[in-house]
Order: sequence, then structure tokens, then C-alpha cells
Amino acid sequence: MDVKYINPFINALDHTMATMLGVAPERMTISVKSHNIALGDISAIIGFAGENVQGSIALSFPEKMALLLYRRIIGEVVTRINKDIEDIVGELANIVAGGAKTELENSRLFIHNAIPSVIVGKNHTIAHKGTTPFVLIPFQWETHYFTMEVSMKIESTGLLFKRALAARAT
Amino acid sequence: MDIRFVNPFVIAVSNTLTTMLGKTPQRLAPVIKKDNFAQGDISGIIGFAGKVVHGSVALSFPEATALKIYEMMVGEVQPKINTDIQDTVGELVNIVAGGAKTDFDREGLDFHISIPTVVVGKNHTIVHKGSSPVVVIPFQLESLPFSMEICLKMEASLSQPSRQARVVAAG
Repeated sequence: MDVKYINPFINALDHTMATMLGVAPERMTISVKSHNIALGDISAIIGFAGENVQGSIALSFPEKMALLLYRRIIGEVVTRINKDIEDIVGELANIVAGGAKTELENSRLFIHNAIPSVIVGKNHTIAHKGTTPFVLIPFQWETHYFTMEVSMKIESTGLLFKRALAARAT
Repeated sequence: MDIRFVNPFVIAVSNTLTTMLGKTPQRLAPVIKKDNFAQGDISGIIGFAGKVVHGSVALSFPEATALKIYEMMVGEVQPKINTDIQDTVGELVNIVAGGAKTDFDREGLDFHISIPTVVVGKNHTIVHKGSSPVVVIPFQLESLPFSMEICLKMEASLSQPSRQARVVAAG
């Protein structure tokens, strides 16, 4: 997976965090996820797909971080994960995917975003079932950690070329 | 949400399990999801998106059901959820979405499906963040429960012309 396809997601997350929350989370070392580790208490997953690309991203937060995000956006203190927190986390993923979509178009990758799903459960794990590895990007903000995972499969240009040839033949 | 858009998924679940396991799951009455009740221990989620339609579908299994399906499919007994079970659940939801896609294509509502994601966690809940209602279809396989959730949104402005175009073409 080419880094130029990951950067749009990182840029979108940075931008979303900066404009919505006024925070600049620090990006930590990117790794390729090879096994499922305990990730978080609340996650938003959004799939995307296009003519020659498919993938999914997941944003996972520990409960504390999710509550803090909510406080930052709404200014209200909530003690545990509820419907409002789910909405915020789902909306964040939606905005990040939307931002990345715009930037990916510059790389001639056109995607449509699916509807985000939010998972709530203490220490759940997430696995992306593509043949491509998925990239795990941890972020730190103050003492809190959260992660973004990006998994993406791009059909080889060879296939597109074949398709174009087939179209011409008919 | 139009029932026409739910049926392709229901048919795909029945077909997939019947072909792969030789057992047809029993479909129970669909409900509109109101609460985020505990859904299961392992879920496969897949998003789909196209010009006119986008949404997500989730298949949620309690641990016992997932293990049973794996046993029926592979013939091997697993004591608990592991990567093989995850692969099976991810593949199932992939096949279901692929099967439904064929039906939607026929209606002229093409979409692409994303990469399936598998979530593992005791009694986790799934919330679909669409403005449209979420339909939950409970199933039973050999008296073991599992459920499918569908959240689907149509772009109203786009869907009308394309349907009319088809009518004109057909007439």
C-alpha cells in the first residue's frame, strides 16, 4: 500500500481535530497491524469503495478519550459512553472519510463512502479482512491515546487497462 | 426504507448458508432497531457505496453460533473465537454483500462493496450512523440465533431519474 494513499486520511484527521476540537494530536510511529490487539472501548468504522479501490477505516478511542472529545466539542461533562458520544465518534469518522475522499480524488482515486458504524464494547478488537495489510496509526493527545486504522485495496492498473481494452473491442 | 432493498440481503443470507452449510436458516420477523441491545460476540461489518445508494450491513453472532457455523463448514471444533472464526465471519458478510450487490445491479442501483471488518468483543453493540432507520433481521440456524442489520440510504434526487430512465428504456 502506497503511503500517498494513507496520507489523505492522516491529513483529514489532523484537520478535523484542529478545526472541530482545537487540538493537534501527535502522530506516533505508524505500524502494519499483524494481529488484533485490544484497541478501545468505542470505535467508528466506515467503509469506502470505488471503481478500482475498496477499503475501510476505523477510529478507536478509549472511553476516557471519547468523553474528553465530547466535552471539548459540546462543553458538557458526561461520565460514560452514551448515544451522544456514539454520534460524535460516528460523525468524526464520517468527516475524516469525507476529507480523505476529496484528497484522494487528486490521486485519481474516486471513492464513495458508506454509512459509519459505531461499535461499543469494553476492549473489543477489530480486524480488517482484506488481503492487504492494514496500517495502524496511533495518536497521542496529552495523556490519551487513540488509533486510526486504514485498510485499502487498489486494483492493479493492469486490470483497468484490460478493461479499457475490452471496452474498446466491443 | 423500502422492503425491496432489504430482501436482496435476506435472500443472500439464506442462499449463502444453504450453499455453504447445507442448512437453511430460519428467518424471524424483521424489526426496526430502536435500542442498542447486546448483539453478539463477533460481528462482520461491510459498507457499500455507489452513486445512488450507500449503507452498511452487519452480521452478528453469539460465540456459540459462530463456533457452530465454523464446525458445520470446516468440520473442525474450535473451543473459542480465533482468527479462523474471524475469517469465516468476514468472508460470510463479504459473500452476502456480494450476493445482494448482484440484485441491486439488476435494479440499476450499482454499488461497490468495501473491505469487511470483523469486530470481536463480549456483548458489543453496533450503531449505524445513518439518518435512515436500521432494519434488524433475526435468524435461527439449528435453534442458534444470529442477526443481520441493514442501514441503507438512497439519494432521492438521483434515484428518481435513473428509475424513470429504466422505465423509458424498457417501454
